[in-house]
Amino acid sequence: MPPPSDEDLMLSAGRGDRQAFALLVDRHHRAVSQFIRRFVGADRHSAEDIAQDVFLSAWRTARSYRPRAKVLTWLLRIGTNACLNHLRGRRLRDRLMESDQHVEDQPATPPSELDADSGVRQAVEALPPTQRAAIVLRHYHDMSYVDIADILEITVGAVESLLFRGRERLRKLLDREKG
Amino acid sequence: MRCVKARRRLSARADGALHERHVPALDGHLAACPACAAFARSLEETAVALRRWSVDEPCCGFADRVLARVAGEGDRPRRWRPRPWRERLAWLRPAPVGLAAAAFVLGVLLSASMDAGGERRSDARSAAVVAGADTFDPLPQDSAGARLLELLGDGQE
Repeated sequence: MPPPSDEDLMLSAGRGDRQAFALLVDRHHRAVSQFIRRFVGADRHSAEDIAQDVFLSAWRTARSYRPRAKVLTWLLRIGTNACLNHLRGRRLRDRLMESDQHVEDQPATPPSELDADSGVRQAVEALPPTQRAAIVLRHYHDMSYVDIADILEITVGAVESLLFRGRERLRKLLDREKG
Repeated sequence: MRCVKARRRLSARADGALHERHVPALDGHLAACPACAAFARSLEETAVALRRWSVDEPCCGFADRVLARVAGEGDRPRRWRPRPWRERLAWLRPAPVGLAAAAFVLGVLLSASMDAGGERRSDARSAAVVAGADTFDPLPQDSAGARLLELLGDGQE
């Protein structure tokens, strides 16, 4: 018997089936967590908190899921909104503190990500949030333009534009770092 | 083809989203424009650089922690509904006793201060009457009040 599809599992979860939801969490938690980590530039623990909130929110709203959207797309849409809220909160906090203290409070980057990746990570973090989301979804999750448009709730043309401008900016940032 | 258009198409080509019919024109432009050819190369380098950024796997037991939180949510996913007014005003429930006590104290204080004020006013008025002074200013001759008093016969006295 073939394994149940994501959509079937999500519909079962909407009827209160926790086992079905557990299978979905197992299938998608890596993708959701990694997306969140790259999007918000958070440490593993903050990213996990956001990822947990995403799945909890998915469980709470499982009844409103309609199979026209892919489950991962739907989860990443919830994740994008959660990340945007997190970034807004962080910006507000930084603005309120306006001291060196908030720099100390920033999560430390794990040593594994400090070496070769740090330049890329900083360049991606320097992008505006929507460009960053588009770049992360395209380059690390291999999402199609249609899926990215669905996640970010914009048109396919806008996705093309975001990716172009994001790459242009990344290219300049990485060139500056090299030079 | 203008350079801006060529660069947009290069970005789309990197994603495999460029229609085949645009490919010859784009390649023609790249052959003739060294700046756009350099742009194409640096786009590829950017894509390679992006691939270098790896992130760790989520902490082990993540799924269990999510499911523990889900278990705390009750049996079925809830449908969103607005909170009833009774719930929204729940914070007022302990208030009636406190409100009644506060009203009582306020009433006692007010009545005490009114009594004291009234006594002071009546003392002042009595003193004025004893002294033969008019307590109130007379109404101006042609004011509406004076005319009303006239009509009522009060002015004839």
